[in-house]
Amino acid sequence: MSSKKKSGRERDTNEAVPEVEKSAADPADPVEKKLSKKERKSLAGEAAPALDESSEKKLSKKERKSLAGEAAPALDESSEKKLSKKERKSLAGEAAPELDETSAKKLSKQERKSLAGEAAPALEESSEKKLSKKERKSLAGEEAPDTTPTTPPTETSSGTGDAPRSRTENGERRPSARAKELDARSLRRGSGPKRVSKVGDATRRAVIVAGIRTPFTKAFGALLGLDTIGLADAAVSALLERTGLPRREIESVVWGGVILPSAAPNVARELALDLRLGAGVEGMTVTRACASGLQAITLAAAAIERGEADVVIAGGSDSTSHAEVKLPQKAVHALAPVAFGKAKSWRDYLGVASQLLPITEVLPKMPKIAERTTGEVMGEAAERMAGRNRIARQAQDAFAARSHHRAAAAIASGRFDVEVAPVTLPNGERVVVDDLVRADTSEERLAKLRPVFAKDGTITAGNASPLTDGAAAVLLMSEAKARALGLTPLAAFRSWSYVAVDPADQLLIGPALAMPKALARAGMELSDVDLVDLHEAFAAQVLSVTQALASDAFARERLGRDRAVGTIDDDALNVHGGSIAIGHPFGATGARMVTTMANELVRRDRETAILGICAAGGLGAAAILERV
Amino acid sequence: MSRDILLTLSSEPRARRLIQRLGLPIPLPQRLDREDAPYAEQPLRDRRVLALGTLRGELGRAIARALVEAGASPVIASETDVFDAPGEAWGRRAEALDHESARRFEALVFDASELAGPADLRALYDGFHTSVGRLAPCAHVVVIGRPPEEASTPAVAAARQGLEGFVRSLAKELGRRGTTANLVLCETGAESRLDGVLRFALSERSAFVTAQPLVVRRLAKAPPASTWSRPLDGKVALVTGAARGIGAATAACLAREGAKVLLLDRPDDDAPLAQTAREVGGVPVLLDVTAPDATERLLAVAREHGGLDVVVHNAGITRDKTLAKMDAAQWELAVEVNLGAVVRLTDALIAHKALKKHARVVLLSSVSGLAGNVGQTNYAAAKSGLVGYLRHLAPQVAERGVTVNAIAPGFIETRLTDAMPVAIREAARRLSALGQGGQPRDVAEAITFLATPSSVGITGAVLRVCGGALVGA
Repeated sequence: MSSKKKSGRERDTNEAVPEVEKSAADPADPVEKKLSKKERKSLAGEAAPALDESSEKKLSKKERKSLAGEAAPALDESSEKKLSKKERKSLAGEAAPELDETSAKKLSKQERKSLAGEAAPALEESSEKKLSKKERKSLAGEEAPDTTPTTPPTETSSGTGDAPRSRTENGERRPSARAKELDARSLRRGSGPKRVSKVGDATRRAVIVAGIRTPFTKAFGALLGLDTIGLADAAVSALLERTGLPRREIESVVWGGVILPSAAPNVARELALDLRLGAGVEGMTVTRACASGLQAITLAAAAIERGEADVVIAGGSDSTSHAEVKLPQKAVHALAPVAFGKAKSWRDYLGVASQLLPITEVLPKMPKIAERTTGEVMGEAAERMAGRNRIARQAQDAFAARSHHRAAAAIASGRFDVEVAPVTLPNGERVVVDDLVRADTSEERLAKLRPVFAKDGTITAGNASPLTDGAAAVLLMSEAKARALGLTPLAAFRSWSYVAVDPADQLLIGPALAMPKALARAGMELSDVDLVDLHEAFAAQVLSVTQALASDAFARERLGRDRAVGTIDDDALNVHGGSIAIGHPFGATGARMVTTMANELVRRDRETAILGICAAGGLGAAAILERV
Repeated sequence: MSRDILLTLSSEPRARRLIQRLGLPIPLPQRLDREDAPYAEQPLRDRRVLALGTLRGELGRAIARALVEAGASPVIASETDVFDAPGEAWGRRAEALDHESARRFEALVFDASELAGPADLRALYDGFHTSVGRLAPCAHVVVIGRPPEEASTPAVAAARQGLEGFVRSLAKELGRRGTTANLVLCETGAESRLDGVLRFALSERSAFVTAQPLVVRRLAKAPPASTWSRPLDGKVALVTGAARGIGAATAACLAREGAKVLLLDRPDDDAPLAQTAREVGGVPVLLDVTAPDATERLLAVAREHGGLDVVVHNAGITRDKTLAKMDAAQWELAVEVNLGAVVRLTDALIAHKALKKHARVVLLSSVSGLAGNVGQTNYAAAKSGLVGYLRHLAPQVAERGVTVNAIAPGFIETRLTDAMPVAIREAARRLSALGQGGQPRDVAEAITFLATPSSVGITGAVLRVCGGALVGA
């Protein structure tokens, strides 16, 4: 079953993901990673003296045992999560000195993990900003918003030996002056409720272990031979191969899609049965238009955090080529007697036929991507947005060309090899590469295309995302489970947010509201985030969103902030292209973006990435990923 | 319902052309654009609104924000910057007025809030002289000023008062094309209460309201923030005389906006009441307001539903007779139903705290009741009395956020007006700026507007829904 192909851009599918990235990473990094893993495994009794009495109630039986010097590997699953929490706590004074030689960023990350409310001055300046972020969270205590995984409670002292008076007699957290000030600041910013009690164990952080997608191809093209379930099968089976995950570990599948097969809409369950993941693997399929993939993944993460499962596969797929063309309901009703076998005589058939007139009313119509309540085709809505936000045609074409060039560079350099798996069609053909990306395109060539949605419009086939087939899947686990299985997590969710706007107003402006909300939930500013990935439904839509985020007026009038959310660095935005170039199989896009950003965070050794996706119905979605 | 022949004729393009070509002196009123759908988030969506005048400071910003958030595409003629922030935030930046273009405007807002004296009225001429011709049929004009009572000097007061005469005349000029013109006087400090009023005055909801001044006051305490769509969600509304006509239309409008409507009428009318209640999904309450136990029973009903958020006293009767020939019973009944019961019931609701905080009380007066009519001494005494009542009551309940207003319908096509002799009915229809009678839903929309949270600025006022009738005060 394992394939050992090593030709061209294909890699050994049995290689664990981190190893592939190692080749591109800093020489110091592999050592770093191994060190941290080993550290975690060998903590055992070293941590005990560093722990404060006041945190004793946090220690489970297992922890107390290991404090007495027993080795960590003996742990069973039930206390695994407690141990990982303790591990983080006890990294404290042990980790810091050993990491002095490493990069400043790494140092700050370790320190952050072990910090127990110490003031910033202890750290070097370069990481102070990042520290304050983490510090803020730890100071604010465990009561982070319910949908975000919290940082581990770090109320215990570090190796300095001083026990901060952060708890009152009965163990309640006493908010520090800085925490109060930060809370007041966030209230002034109007960031909404930050203290929502979290259900379940605070340490069950859901981590992204790996992500794989099929190549994305033009609709009615190379992947025509597979329907949405077939594409989902391909993506998930490749994911399992690449990670080497034993099938018996999988508990649940959450899948996203827009064009769901009417005979079998629960694609998640169908793929679980097709791939024989185990009869007990339950599946759910969700739809939130273009944000379905992200929705599936955040639902899986939330389920893991709530303790409903430890290992979940989440993703999305859409085969636009297999969009079912509906018979108008008039035809369905007219043909019902025939369908149910009730038409017997020629008179009955004549009666049925007479109801099928005029013929134009019973012929199937080509489906359009139009808003049900407004009747407006999505492209027309985008065209209106381009007009209202004054996004010039030239700017849109430039952005589209940028998307193509960056995606082409990623393919050429092999960057996408870690996340794209070739697909073998039923007829034996192989599909290996994203065939919509055009390395040779340019602003000049795009300028020649005619507008599609309005006579003197700006949106063309070149600066809009194309109809595509494809699938993408992500493997999520609880952090403890990942460690137990020996898998290195890539990233985790710091926060997410789903919003809605009036679809009759600016249909696709959703991310401009969802992203600030996700940032507020994570206690971050846009300038704190390292990478930004925006779904490119239309170049005009992306540029409208970035313009709104950079607008003080937008922030004041619509977000209750006094200043703009922020300006996105060109170098940080859609670093490997986006939906315009790669394609947009509706349900798969969210999962593609999560995969690419998770891999990119590791590859570039960055801390956080923010995703923004607009969706039909006036919906917006955003999520913030953090490096694990 | 008797048909308005001229309205029908004017809607027929061929008939219209024929009459115009023959030069017949037949007035052809414009069929009005009305809106039946529920309140939307952006009622002015994509409409071009010409914004003229001062447009500066707090008031200018409030106007700009109200227009842009209502979805309007603003067009400006001067160098004002109040549209910059909301325009950027909502993607509706103001355009410069193109004098050559033939495109028409569906709405016009004139900020006349900074008049220092009579000479400044010239700005009205300058602004309207060229724009009046660029209004589309059934457009809406709003002039915004400050109350003359707040003026610092008599000269300022003169200029401010002059706005009212200007708007009334303008309304009569524009009425032929179905266009309405109203004056909104905003007290200093009440700028934040303008948006609901502007949405009403600039949209089809006010199709039959024209030539009226509306004062936006600080007086009543502001309600908590509410949504623009389904603004009456969760509210309990009582409408008296709800079996037919204006009452039934009002119940339907209130229910459409999310209210639970208690429809009240006499036991004699139980069949039509039950039907109307079924249609609007409301609760029928059979009660004669003149009955001795009416107060108790009404309080019990109010208590049963947890208090009332909206009270519409619509039940009314006429007992027309010239005074010498009128008998005491006719006098009694007309005054009792139209005024006595209203005062008694409303006083009881307030005394027993059956009116919730931020409640809305709307009384139905009448244009002819205010102006007086032969044979209507009893009716007019009552309908005018209502105005005295609400003027005194409004400041008393303002602290609780309750507003009290009256709607004075003009000529509305109902059963009652159908019973009038043809000649008088025709004359009554034509003697208005819009040249036609109104419909029950026009009154209902105005009442519903006064019932919404965003009308908190209007209290102690009489709003005529008369199409700019020449009759009446």
